[in-house]
Amino acid sequence: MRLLQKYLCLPRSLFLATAILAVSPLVTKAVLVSPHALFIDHHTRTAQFTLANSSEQAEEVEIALRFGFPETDSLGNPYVKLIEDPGAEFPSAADWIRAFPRRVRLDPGQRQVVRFLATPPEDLEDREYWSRVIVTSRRSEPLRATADTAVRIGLTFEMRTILALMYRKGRVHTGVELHDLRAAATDDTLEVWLALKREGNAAFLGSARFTLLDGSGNTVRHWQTALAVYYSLNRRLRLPLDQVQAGRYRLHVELSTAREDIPATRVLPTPTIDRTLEIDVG
Amino acid sequence: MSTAPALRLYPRRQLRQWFIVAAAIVCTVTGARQLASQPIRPRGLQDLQFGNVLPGFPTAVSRLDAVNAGKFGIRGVNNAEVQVDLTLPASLVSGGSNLTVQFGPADGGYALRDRINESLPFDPTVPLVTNLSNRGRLFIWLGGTVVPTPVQAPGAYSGTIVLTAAYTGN
Amino acid sequence: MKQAFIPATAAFAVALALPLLPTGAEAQASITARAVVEPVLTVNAGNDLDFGSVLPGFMKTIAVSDATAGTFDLSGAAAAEVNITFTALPANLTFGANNLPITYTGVHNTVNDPIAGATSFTPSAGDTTPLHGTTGELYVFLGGTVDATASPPAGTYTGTVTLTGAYTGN
Repeated sequence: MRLLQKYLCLPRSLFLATAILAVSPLVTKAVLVSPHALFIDHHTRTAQFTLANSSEQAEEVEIALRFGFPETDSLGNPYVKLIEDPGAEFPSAADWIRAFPRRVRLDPGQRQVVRFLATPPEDLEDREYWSRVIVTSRRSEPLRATADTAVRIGLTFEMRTILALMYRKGRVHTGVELHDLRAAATDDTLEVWLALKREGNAAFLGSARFTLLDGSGNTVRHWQTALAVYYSLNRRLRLPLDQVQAGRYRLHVELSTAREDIPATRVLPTPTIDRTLEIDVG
Repeated sequence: MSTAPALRLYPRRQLRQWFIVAAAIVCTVTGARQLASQPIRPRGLQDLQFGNVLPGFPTAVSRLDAVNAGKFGIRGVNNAEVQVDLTLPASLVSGGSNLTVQFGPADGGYALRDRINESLPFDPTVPLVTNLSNRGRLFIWLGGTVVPTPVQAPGAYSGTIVLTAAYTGN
Repeated sequence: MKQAFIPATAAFAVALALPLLPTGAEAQASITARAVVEPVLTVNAGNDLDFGSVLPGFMKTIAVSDATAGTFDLSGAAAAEVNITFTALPANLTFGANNLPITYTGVHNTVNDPIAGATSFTPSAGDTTPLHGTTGELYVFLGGTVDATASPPAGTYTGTVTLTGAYTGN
């Protein structure tokens, strides 16, 4: 192999890449999950999603439910906090919603509908209850055996996708309070801090739209991000300021429950919050 | 005096031929006037619905699927021969994204009654020449397959299918 | 002369009828073909993190930019924010009762490039980042170092690496 590499005058990494491409099957996608989020109504108590295997290998898939919600760390970065045994203070639906099937083998090209059935307690009060659906998939292929005397590594890759599940009973409503809004331009980034607290009895699933306006009111940049507030968030956003000239700008911030990735029938309408800040760039 | 002796000049056989030709001419003219007075009328009766599809997973709708297959109805002169052409899109469109749609040689179906299970297959990519029923009706069904790529952009895609119908005159 | 009456009449009648034949008269109707491409979430393992053969007594490193680095890709809604974490990342690979220490390095990028525009992160700590604003893609590259300086016995040392993609926008 080294002789061949030398003969072909290829850099080692390029040679390896070529060799691997020649022998490895081209993997496209693996297990698809659709839709992005599940909503269950107290009247129907059911929902479903579709799993599909678009890869060329069989996949073992497991579905589990855990209580969890997005939170932010001290640096303002969001993550999904999973709580194994939530107390009564948490509106968890993880214990009384079941997935059918919970484990499935998907052959290449196969699709599987997974149904979720809720059996809530009798005295459930009106509000929104939450869970996370965890879809774990791993390739169903045997570990390659070795016959030589070397040390070899056999790493198995497992993939987990976590998505939200909302169970709504009775009249649910939401809103968000914007306690604090700060923004500062540093180098080529506009750093924005939002301190948010949810109102109502349902999660605030919305979006934040940011518009940078110059002195004449012309839009210079526009950004948008999805926002999920379950309790409170102290969120930092880093918005790129590529090629924005130095000067004084206004940053218009708009918070609303407008979302394109959530079915319109599931969006809980709220009044839009508008704020404007002065920003110095450069 | 003028007509009767003249007719008497024709032999009986020739006279019969004259009547046949005259009758044929009358029928032709009458039929043509009927075709003209009763124009062919196609109508779109049901959209072709592929429903929700996943990227990378082709989804087919059978022409025998009463709920999702596309459907046209045609009305015209009883028993008249018609030509049906379907203008089919190569892709459905959502904003700037295209979704490939394919129509196979058995994705078209036609029947003289509104009975999808009685329909006979035809290739929707080539013209169909057939007769309307004795009540002047024809029904067309259309299936097909959408072929989303593995990275197909999400969204609602649509495309127009146009049916053109005309009497052949035969 | 009189015998010419029949063909003349026929010709006249046909001439009369021809303009009435509406063979060129077309009528059109249309339906719409519709499909909804569903938004999907995927977390996909591409290449294995492949160390090949490791000589006992030596360390071996696979950089994130090496062709044998482990690769993953995630896809979802354009610009959706995702928290990626290697929730299971063994510090030792095992072969029976024998351990082989391993450490990891990681980068992610919205295009399939482990160098240009890539962001380094600590695999065990994870990172939150938006998917590509148009394609909805995110690529993760995993490198590592195995330490065989203690000359472990030959064999296949195994472990399971779990990459979790949690969408923070819902």
